[in-house]
Amino acid sequence: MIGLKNILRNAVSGMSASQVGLTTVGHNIANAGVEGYSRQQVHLGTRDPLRVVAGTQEMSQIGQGARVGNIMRAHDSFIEGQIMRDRLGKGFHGGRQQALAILERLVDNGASPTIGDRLDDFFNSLSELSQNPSSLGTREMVLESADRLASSFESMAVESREVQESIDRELREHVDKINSLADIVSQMNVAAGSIEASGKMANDFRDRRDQAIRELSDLIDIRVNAMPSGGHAISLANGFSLVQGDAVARLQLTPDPANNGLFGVEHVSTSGVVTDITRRLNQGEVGGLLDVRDRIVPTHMLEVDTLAFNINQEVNTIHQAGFGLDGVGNRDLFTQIAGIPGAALAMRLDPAIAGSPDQLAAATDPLAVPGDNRNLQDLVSIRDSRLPGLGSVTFTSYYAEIVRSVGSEVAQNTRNLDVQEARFNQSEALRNSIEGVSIDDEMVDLTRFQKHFEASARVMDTVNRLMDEIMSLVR
Amino acid sequence: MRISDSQRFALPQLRIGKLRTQQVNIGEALASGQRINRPSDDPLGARMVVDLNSEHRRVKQFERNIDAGRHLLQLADGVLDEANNTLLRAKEIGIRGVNGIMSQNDRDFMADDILSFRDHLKNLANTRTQNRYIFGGFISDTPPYDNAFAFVGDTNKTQYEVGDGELVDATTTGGLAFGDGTANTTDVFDNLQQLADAVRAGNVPDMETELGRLEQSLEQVVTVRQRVGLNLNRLSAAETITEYMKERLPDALSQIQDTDFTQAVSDLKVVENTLQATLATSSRLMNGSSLLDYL
Repeated sequence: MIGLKNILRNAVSGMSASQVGLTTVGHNIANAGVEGYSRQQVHLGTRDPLRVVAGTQEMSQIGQGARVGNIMRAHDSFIEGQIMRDRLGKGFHGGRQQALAILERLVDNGASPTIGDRLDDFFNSLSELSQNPSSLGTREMVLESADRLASSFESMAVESREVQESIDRELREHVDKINSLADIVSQMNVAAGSIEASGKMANDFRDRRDQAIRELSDLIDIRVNAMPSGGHAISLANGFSLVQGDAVARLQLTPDPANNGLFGVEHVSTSGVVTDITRRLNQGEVGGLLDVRDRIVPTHMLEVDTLAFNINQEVNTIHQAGFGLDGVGNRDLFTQIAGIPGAALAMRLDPAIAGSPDQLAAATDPLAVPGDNRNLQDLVSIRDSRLPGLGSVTFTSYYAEIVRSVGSEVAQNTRNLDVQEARFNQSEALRNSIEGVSIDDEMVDLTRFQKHFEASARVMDTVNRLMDEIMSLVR
Repeated sequence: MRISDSQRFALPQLRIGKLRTQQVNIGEALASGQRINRPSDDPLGARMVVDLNSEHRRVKQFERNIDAGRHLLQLADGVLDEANNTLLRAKEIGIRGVNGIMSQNDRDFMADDILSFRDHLKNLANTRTQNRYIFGGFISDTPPYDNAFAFVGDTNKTQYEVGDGELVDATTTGGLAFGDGTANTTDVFDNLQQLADAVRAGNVPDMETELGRLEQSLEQVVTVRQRVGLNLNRLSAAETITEYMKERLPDALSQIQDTDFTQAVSDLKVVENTLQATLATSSRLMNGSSLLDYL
């Protein structure tokens, strides 16, 4: 026999189901602005019916009310994977952008004189001196312009190094962030694991873990594997494990003597094995920064060094062949440089000639001083010589080519960054469309659960009246 | 497609951000007047700008060299003109000495005149500007003719670069004009000295010999002066080219790097219109009513 108590139980089950629904709506609305939050939905189920059996025959089944099933979050693994890839690409080009822009400013910022300008000034001052090689004032001017040319090379070398060092500081921040994100993933693995062992979904912990994973993929290329135990294992794309359940590996930075003391990125496994993985990090923001630091800056510095070395050699060779006002020859204008690497940094006006403008070798004939300007003409003429050391172009053309290649590197990266950002925004919109909270939706649900609650309460009220009715019979 | 609330806010943020960037970029091009403000704005253009700027500076240096060379050559021209006149006056006196019957006193006067011309010529040959003796060749710090009227300069000419690989003699050696002490040239000073001696002695045959040499002296000076004129002409020719380049190079530079104002202003207008539309829709999108307002 079905008692009134049964109806009451059904009403209560409905009321508590709608309360859970209302709670979830409230949760969704409260978290509408939280990054990485996925909206949650209550899945209601029916309780197992009461079976009425007469003898061996099943007469009927009587409903026992509603049951709150699982609360699920809206989640699309396919889009999540897409987003990770897009964030990786965006991170790579974004990481390069800032450093490239600084490099570009070094080469040509449109305001302060560049190496190219200094080169012109130097040759022009030689040409000016050829008008009257006996003028000490003009000789002084030549030495000054040679000094400025040398120091423009030197400061280019120094500032390129500064670009690399500021990249190192940024790497430090990124590595710290990777480590703390890895910690979050492992903590969430533990937290979610203990809840999900009982068959419930740990939506909020999963959201936080997913968000940490998304942020990780801004920085480095990672692979995510769901483990049978329910946690997520994260490994770097090159196979090194970062998180395995609750075990976390570490990344650390150590100055690498083989790379001028710049940081190497090392992986410290959970068992303490240290491996240098710098060369294997070529994606994400970390990859972008390393690309600028270890490939682009050194490539351009090599070009600048080559230019400095060739100028140094050519100018000195001719200068040595000439004679100063004192009739003495075989002097250097720039301090001799051993080889191309580090040439820009070592570029300097020879200290012996600095302050002694009379030593400037303007003459080809030691007896024809002070009027002989033929060595100056020879010096001026190297401005136009196409040097094999520079790929058979002139100094100016070689410098112009450096400007072009840095410029196009930046322009290309800007374009790529735009594309990656557009892609990211698209997939992010798609993710939001599926996983994001819509106030309109929640209002509908809010009303639905409210009405549902009211209806269940009405059922209870009815049972209550029936009870009264029965009680009055007894009286 | 389902639109979540975060999308309603992300979209305006994104679009407005992009449009503001465009606005700033066009604004920069308008304010600086330059389309290329950094190499990445147009890498190939930036490369050409470096080359053209370098060429422009070089042309300006050529111009300075031309001006300096012209100063020297015009000075030499004036000096040689004066030398020519001086020799002609000496010649007049010499001819009077041959023809006229005059007293020893007159002859002494005439001889002294010729000698003073000789001194004047030496001063001319030792002309100096900007602390350099223009007829001394490379030995520009000492007077090319010493007190004994001997040539102590050399025969080198100072060349100025006045165009790409184009060198012009900006000085001439005094030795060729006034005698360098070798048999190749007539020693103008000795010539005048001998003439003065002959006039003083009334020695007509000697006077005639020296007047003959004087013709050679004159021809020597004129020849050198012609060469100076020739070099002045070369300077003018070179100047025509530098002038042309000086006009053309800024044009070429401006074609590459200057902002096309009409284009930029109309681009800016388009961006601003879009921005306004975006701002208007964004406010609708963000403040637009939701179901919330009706429950």
